[in-house]
Amino acid sequence: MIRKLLETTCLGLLAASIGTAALAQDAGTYSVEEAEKAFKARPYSPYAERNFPRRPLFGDTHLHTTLSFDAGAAGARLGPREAYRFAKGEEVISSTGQPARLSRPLDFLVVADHSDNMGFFGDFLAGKPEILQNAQAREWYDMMQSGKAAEAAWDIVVTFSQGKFPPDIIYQPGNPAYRSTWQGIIAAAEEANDPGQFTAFIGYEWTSLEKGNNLHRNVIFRDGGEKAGLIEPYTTQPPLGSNNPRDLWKWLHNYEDRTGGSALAIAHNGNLSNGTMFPLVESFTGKEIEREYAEQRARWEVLYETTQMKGDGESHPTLSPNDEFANFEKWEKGNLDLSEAKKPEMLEFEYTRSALKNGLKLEAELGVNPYKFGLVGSTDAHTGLATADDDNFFGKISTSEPSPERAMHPFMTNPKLGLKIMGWETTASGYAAVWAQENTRASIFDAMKRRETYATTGPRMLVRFFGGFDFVAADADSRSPAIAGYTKGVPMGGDLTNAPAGKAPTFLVAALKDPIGANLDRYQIVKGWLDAAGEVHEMVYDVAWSGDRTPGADGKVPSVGDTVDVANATWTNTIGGPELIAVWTDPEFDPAQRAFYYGRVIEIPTPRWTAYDAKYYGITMPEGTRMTTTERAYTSPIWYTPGL
Amino acid sequence: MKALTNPRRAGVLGVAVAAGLMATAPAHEAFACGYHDPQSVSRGFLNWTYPDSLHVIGAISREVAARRLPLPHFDQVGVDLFGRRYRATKIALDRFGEMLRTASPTQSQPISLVLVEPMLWTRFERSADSLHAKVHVSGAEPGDLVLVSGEAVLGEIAARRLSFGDAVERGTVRLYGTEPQIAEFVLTFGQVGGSDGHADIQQPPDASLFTASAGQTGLAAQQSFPADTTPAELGCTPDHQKTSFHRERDHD
Repeated sequence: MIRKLLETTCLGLLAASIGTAALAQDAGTYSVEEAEKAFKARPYSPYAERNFPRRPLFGDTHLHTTLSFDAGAAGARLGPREAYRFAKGEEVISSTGQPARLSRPLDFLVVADHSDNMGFFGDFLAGKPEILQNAQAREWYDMMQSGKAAEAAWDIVVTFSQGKFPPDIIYQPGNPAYRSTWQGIIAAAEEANDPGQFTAFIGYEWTSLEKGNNLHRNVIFRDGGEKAGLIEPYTTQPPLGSNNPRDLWKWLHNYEDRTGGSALAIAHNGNLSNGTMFPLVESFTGKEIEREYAEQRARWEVLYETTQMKGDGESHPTLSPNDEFANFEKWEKGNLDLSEAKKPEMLEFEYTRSALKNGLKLEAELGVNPYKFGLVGSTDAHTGLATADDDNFFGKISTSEPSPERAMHPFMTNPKLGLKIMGWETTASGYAAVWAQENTRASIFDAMKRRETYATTGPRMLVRFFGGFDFVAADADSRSPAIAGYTKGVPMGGDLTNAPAGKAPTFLVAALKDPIGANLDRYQIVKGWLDAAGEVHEMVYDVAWSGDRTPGADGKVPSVGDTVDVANATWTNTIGGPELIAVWTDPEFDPAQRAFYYGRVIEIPTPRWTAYDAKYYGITMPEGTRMTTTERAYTSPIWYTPGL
Repeated sequence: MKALTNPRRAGVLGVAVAAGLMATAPAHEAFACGYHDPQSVSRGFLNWTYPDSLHVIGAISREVAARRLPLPHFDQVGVDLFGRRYRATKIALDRFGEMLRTASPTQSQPISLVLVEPMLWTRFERSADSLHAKVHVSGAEPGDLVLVSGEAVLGEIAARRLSFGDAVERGTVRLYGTEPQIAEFVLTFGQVGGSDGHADIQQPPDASLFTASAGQTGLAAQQSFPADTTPAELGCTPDHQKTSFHRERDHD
């Protein structure tokens, strides 16, 4: 009797706790022993005997050092070791001689130097004999020693970018010097890696630039040097490399087959791809995407870097005209090198939200969603300094480290097309937040693979996002929403399916402000869906907000206000709130339609880095310079798929 | 070499300098990150050719923030279409050359100076009776003593509001050459630009040269030093000496 009661109780509790989303599993197969093990009475500590992630780990998955060809050309002199030291919270001297330190240490870092010609500069400028044996290299070197360094420098950069670099000195796989560089990167990561305290990933950036269109991917290894050291990074210049992502995926496959290791790739800056980052028609073949492409992309590219220093890529006002927060830190003038101007029809294939929407469409057609990715932010700094805070921003490249002139300096230009991006348009962004159980390579990597991540534009706000069918308002009356979140639903990056009859998805959302940052304005849920006619749609819902604001007739919560004193680069937390938590139910759910949902958390307005620079240096910024910002976080989506 | 005979490319540096901070390189020739122009590349290379020479950017920035250096020319919005900035810089360079000649009429050491904002190289060459400033040369000649600094620093020195020695001490000028070259130069010209100096040319500040505001002129007098001091006595730390007073590269 007791056993029977226990069995009934356990199964009942288990069913209630795991939620309907998981009921597709056959709960009836649980034995009493299994049920006891899975759901025994909890100890006094609510957190004991649970293994869900309890705090997000913040890091940068995309940092360049002096070993990147372009970073070196721009004067970066900090290498991987300095980059790790800085990320761990140590003070370092920047390449322009300025002491730099993070407000708080990061939890992890990926040094992701460009794979092509990685490490060349340091060796060349040191006069490495193997390089100077080449006549062209010797000529460049002699020019540099005879007062023609500027011409030599530019010729080196142009020759390389045009693919005309002398083959026998290019740093690429098979070249002993290249291998030495790669081993050096691995050694630096191994030294910095401190399981439980700080994770130093081994990685690199595959730098595909097809006709000036950005198709870059950062490759991150779960493994240590014993496996990553067996290979050399994949490059883009034929015959050893390729610009086609399909070839990178093959390379990743080969890596795992050969070493037994694990790797993933993170794309970024679709906004600079001129419509080629999230294609429906492949730019390399001119053909529509087919299942093979979708499967490979879905397998290897589980994350997307949606915000970084070259602009924010979550949404675009042209694509989302009813989203008043869509026009945020946009770089929308052209492709990566500004060789081609942007056209409106390109935007759909560049931004996160539209890619997620098209992913639903492709999944319905192909059976696989190639754009089922989670979200991270990272810096893409080329300074060795992973800074994303507006009051501590060390810029994109070393020559744009803090100085009175950096905001006014043109960052990119193409006079022929009349295109120019100014230094002030650089964004102080962003970081990756990962809900991992432990601060180890394996745990963080596994969290990335399950997309349990979110992007921030710099602040370290804590953001929870759970979806299920059984969340109720009382679940928000908790200091530990994760307990209800994990037991009744799935976290960010997860899947919902088989909606119970009469039920709509419910979402438990929670956000805490960055302890040393600004208050929060609102927590929004962005929904995208595919209707019966095959058309995609989107809607942004305000689901939690600070203060006693009342949504208007359009359902939108009024502005939180603005306390920024631009002249003094200050603000006050007299508006907004330190935390937001709520349960929200989709009011327009159709169980037959594919959908995704992700959270967007908006801070109150704060000074932008340009305001801090203006105050510090006593300068006046050019007209049109953005001086305030609304920092934010984007969670990975939760997808709903009709019953299969 | 074809790259050097490309007239378009050869003209790039000149345009960039004369027009101020215009970046003129066709973007499709840029590298992966897309934002390299000849100016930023040559500035970046400077940090390698003369190790840590871009530390002057940090030092100058710090001095501007402390209001000990005037706001730079680059505080202008828009393009310097009429070359006012270039002309002002050239005047300051010529005046600096005169100051050097006056301070040491027999000094014959060839000097090259690069200003990091426009990456403008100037070579000070001794002729029969003067020290001639050849503005806008391609770079230093082998054996030159190389000075790396910025426009505002040069402007203050030329206007006699900042001594060369103080500029060195603050890290806003860095010197590259052999140790004897550097030591001799600093000893000989440390007072150049100082308002209480007697060695350099006596010329009133030219307010039109740079945009310094009133009240920023006292520091040079406060921090100038006797002519017979050595670099080590200038307040430079050993570490500072290591980096700023850089030994000429082994391969030179």
